[in-house]
Amino acid sequence: MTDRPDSILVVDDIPTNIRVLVELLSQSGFKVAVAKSGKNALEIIDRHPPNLILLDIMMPEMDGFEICRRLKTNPHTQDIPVVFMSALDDTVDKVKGLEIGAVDYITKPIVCEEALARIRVHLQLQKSKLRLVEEEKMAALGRLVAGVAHEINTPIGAIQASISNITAAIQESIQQLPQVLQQLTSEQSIAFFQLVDLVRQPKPMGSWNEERQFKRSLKQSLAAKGIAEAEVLAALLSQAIAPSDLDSIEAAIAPLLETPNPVFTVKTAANFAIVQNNSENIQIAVERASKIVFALRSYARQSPLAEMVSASVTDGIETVLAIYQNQLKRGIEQIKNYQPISNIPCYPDELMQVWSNLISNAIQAMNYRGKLTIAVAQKDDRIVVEIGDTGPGIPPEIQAKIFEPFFTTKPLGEGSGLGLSIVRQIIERHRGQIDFCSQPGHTRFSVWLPANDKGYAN
Amino acid sequence: MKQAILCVDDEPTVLRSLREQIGNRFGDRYLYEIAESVEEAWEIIEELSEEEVKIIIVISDWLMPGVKGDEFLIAVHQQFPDTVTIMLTGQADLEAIERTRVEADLHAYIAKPWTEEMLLSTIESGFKKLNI
Repeated sequence: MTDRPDSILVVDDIPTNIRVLVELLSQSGFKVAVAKSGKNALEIIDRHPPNLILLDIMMPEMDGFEICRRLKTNPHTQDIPVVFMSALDDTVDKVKGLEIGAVDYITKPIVCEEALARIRVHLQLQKSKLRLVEEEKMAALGRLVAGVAHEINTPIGAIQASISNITAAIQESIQQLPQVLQQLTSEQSIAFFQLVDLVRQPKPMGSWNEERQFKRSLKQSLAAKGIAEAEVLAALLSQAIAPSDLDSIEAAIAPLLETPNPVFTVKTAANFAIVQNNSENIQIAVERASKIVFALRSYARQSPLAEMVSASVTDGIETVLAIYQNQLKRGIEQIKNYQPISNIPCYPDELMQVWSNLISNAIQAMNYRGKLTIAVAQKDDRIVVEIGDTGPGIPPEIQAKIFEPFFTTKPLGEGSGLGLSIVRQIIERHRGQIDFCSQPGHTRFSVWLPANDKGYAN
Repeated sequence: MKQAILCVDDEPTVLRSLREQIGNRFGDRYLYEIAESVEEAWEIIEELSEEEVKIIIVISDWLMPGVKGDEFLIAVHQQFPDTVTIMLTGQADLEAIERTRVEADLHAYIAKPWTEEMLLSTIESGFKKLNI
């Protein structure tokens, strides 16, 4: 927290009241601003949001209730605590004020000590709340770190190995090429360089089964022709060339089998495939690592008061899934049903926090085994994101409480119980809604968000 | 009898680089097989048995979709008690490693990112264990 004095905006239309309050608050070390009308107040708040607002109820044109209502429906101002002041010692007004989002009220004539005490309490509460929200964010980040380590270490391992493979292949080529070329007739030389061209073609990765079949048929075919080194040649060629027509490959290498050491000759050509394959490996691994780093960066960046930007909800969800990949892999089947939707005006980082919370809760509810269903669709002016899990469900007796701050089912110290309450806050800031239905084996959270900015016009 | 080294990892870039790294050091003496899942690994093990190839070393990742590395290595050990088991992974839970050590006689655990020297000397010490 900063050491700067807290700022308080006094909104009142009666000069004597203003004078008393300004004097009291300034002497107590606060930075005080004054607005004499609702319109004036909203302008000041928009430019310099204060830490707390003291709001008179009875004012001409726009009364205190209306100002408060506007502040509470604006994402930029809804978190600033509002304390009502009114000469009316009227229970109805007090209740009405609290109902539309004020944190407290003080009655006029103002009792200095009481007013100061209440103001200090609410400033302190607000700071504690912000700190807890921050801590929850850090806790969520902490949960991700272990998974991220794995996600980064894997591509780094592949990159290091690929680099050493390329270095070794080049080293070997430099030693072997002169020897091999010396032994070749001109016809064999042509065949050798054709083979080099062939092995440098990109080769699809991951179809190991197909590669094995290819190796086996190649081996049988070469063995049938009485070639002694059929097994080694088949292994070399199947790793270097994408599975293809046996006859054309055999025709291509036929002249090389006449060389003094066919395996040595073919291996020298196949070294170029190692350079090719491992470069491709590095490229894929770097892309994976970058994706994780990007995901983390978007997760950590927070800009609560910035303007909304147009962004893809689906991309946000995919980013979060990338971070949780390692937890999902333990035994969770992902079923995605993304309909094409347009970008929506939103705070992308905050929405990412929503998906991250809902997905992490789903994973934990299923204890890392089950089906995670994610659906994104547009319905009229709204988009709906549904996140479903096959966990044991939320017991009926706690269903009403899950969005309450500090409600948690996790052991002490493992969760602040703020996750879902922050989720709801973020969604409300987006003028959206969240609901859920839950029974054993099937829980689904639905998030509705406005598809365009009509809903945000003040 | 031909001998093979089998690598199992759900990440194709890891598999491809591993196979070349190991193959480059040990050359034509062994066959090198790679599998992207435990399921595929069992298919290969079966095929190799039919061809009378002996699998001397299995190097497996831990965190993979479906069956995890510890379960797999334990099953391999039950069926082929002589086979040397090695775990190569970016993250493994300690219990899983301990279980594999006890129930699969885990020869070594290598953390990703691995170094060439670490990997190859571990494999060589595996050969020693097998008196190769």
